[in-house]
Amino acid sequence: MEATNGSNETAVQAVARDMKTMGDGEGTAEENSTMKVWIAVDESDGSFYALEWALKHLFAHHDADKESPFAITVVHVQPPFQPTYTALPVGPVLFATSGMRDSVVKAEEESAAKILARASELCDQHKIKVEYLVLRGNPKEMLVEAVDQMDIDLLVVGSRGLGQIKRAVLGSISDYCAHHAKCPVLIVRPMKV
Amino acid sequence: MTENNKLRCVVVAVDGSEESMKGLQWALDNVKLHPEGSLVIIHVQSPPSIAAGLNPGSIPFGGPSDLEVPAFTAAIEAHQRRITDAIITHALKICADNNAEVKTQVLIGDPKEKICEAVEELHADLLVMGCRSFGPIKRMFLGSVSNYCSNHVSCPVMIVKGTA
Repeated sequence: MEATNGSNETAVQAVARDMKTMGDGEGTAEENSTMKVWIAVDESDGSFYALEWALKHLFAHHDADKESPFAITVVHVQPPFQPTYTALPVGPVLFATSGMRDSVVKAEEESAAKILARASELCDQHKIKVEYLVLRGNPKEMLVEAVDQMDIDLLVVGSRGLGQIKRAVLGSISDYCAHHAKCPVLIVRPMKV
Repeated sequence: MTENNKLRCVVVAVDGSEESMKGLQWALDNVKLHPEGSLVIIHVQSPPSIAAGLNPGSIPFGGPSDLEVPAFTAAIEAHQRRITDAIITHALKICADNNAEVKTQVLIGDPKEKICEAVEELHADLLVMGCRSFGPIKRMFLGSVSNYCSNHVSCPVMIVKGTA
């Protein structure tokens, strides 16, 4: 597990390095005034609602022609694959054979790809340019850590609208991010119909 | 659909804290409103009895146990009002610096509930709050009002913390 965590960190740092060098290439003056916004998505509808809300309300009125003061990144954090993976709801804990591991990895990548595809559809609909990023790790911790390391200015998260008890048991990513992230956090709750 | 894109009503909740003023500043900087939209600053004043913090009956001069002594209450209210005025003035000054037109509203009651109520009544599109963190556990907890509001309000909530 530590090896995975270590590589996660370097993955974030590597991305940060890349983003920074890209920024320098395009003109340093912009980097300071550009607001870096991250929108966290996962499989839940709540997070896509948050993405849509943000696209509609925060960014909609910046034309594609003019320089947008926002640098938007859609982030998906994949929970890490655990070697002791119970593939079946019943039965003993299976130690993954390499074959099984590969198939799980592939399944995860597929789901990540699906999520990003869905996100990019939304962004295209609203004609807003975004970048995409996939991180691996515990979503709460990764988001907070990455926000910290990469100097993000705003984090947008959806909320599953869990009740009090579920929140306590399952843990709420939006709560955790709001507690611990160093930047302002926008929590978009699902619309009450 | 395109008309709905702009935020029609943004509510900013302020109390005396720096963080809420930062929240206000953030909202002024970054939120672009619909031409007919408005920014409403809300301050919730605690009701006198809670502000008193103590049971009037325990005051040495032995006032009436359950009833509030009117003069006492009035004094507290006046004090609260002074604080409120100071807060609103400060908030308006920040807005004036940014050349923004805002409305203000002062409510009396329990902050958590009043903020949620106000958001419902105004059909706010966005609620902006600062988040005050006390003591050595500074970044460990979300302020209780922010926590409550972010769970119970029907619109997106922006929580602005003091920058590290």
